[in-house]
Amino acid sequence: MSAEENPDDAGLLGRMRKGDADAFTTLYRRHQGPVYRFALQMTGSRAVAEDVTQEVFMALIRNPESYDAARGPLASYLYGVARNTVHRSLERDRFCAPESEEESAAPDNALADLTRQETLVEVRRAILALPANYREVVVLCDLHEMSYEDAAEVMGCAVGTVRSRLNRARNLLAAKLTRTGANPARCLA
Amino acid sequence: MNRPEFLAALARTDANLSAAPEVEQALLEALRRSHRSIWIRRASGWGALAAAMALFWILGRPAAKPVRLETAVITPSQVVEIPAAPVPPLVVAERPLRHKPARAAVKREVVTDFIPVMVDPDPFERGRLVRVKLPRSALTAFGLPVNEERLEERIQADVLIGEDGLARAIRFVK
Repeated sequence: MSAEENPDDAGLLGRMRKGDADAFTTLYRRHQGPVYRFALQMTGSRAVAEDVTQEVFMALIRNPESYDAARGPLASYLYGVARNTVHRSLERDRFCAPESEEESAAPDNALADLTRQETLVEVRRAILALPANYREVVVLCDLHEMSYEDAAEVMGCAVGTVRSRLNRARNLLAAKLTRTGANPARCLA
Repeated sequence: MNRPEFLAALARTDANLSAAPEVEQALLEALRRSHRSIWIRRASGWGALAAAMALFWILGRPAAKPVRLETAVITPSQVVEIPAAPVPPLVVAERPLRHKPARAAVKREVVTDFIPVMVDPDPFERGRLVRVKLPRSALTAFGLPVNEERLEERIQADVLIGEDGLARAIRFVK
């Protein structure tokens, strides 16, 4: 694929700075999915996830110079902004009851898939019940398949910390799912 | 460390989730607004600069076209009538600054302070004071009150001329 068909982030960002809406659209569509899913999986709320997504890209529009290509790829930068925004949101909503949108966030499958869906709902609930620092490492490494190095950069901690938190988070998840009676094996495709 | 299958299954399920199209629309609108405001700020900046330069030019120039005196025709007490014009050519009585005016004349005259006609003029060491007669309407150019019924009358003024021949200041004489 040529550079014209698949322009890199730096080129798109440069055009976006000049007000090129098409460049921004390409950039947004390339990166909004992971940002939105990260926020959704961290907060369990579609509304909050959309707010976070909007805020992350608004930050890019308002201050594109805040991204320094020398410090890493744009995706990592956006994850970092999303993480900060999510943490602020979680802190703000600490005393509010969490929304239960997990069911609507999942695709509307047929009845035959109901059991599997119910198990996934339990998994989502278990993830949301994890402490935030364990939750984000599960979301980044297991749901977004990020490398430990990249996750460490986003989280601003050492790679060893990512490994140990991930191990601890998976154990906590397994214990929670066992307590709720969910059978993770039923999630197997 | 291998990822548990239930997490892999959740990742596959969520893989296509994305924000609502309204978010993209809102952001595009914000981008357009932001870019517009940048241009407005830039245009305002250039406009302000142009206005400042225009103001500087207007204030920096002499009150009217600089009048360079040709050969001075000097007779200290001589006063020459000059035609009505905002700033007429000055071919007038001229005397050096150090020249002492007649004591009797000084006693009778009431003068205003010197009013600069140039902003930030070049310094000069020697100048000439030139007595001229101007229409009273010239007073308005310097923000002084004028009796409208006497606009056609003439009033005396002393114009301070620098070494470069440019008028630097003026005072009106009664």
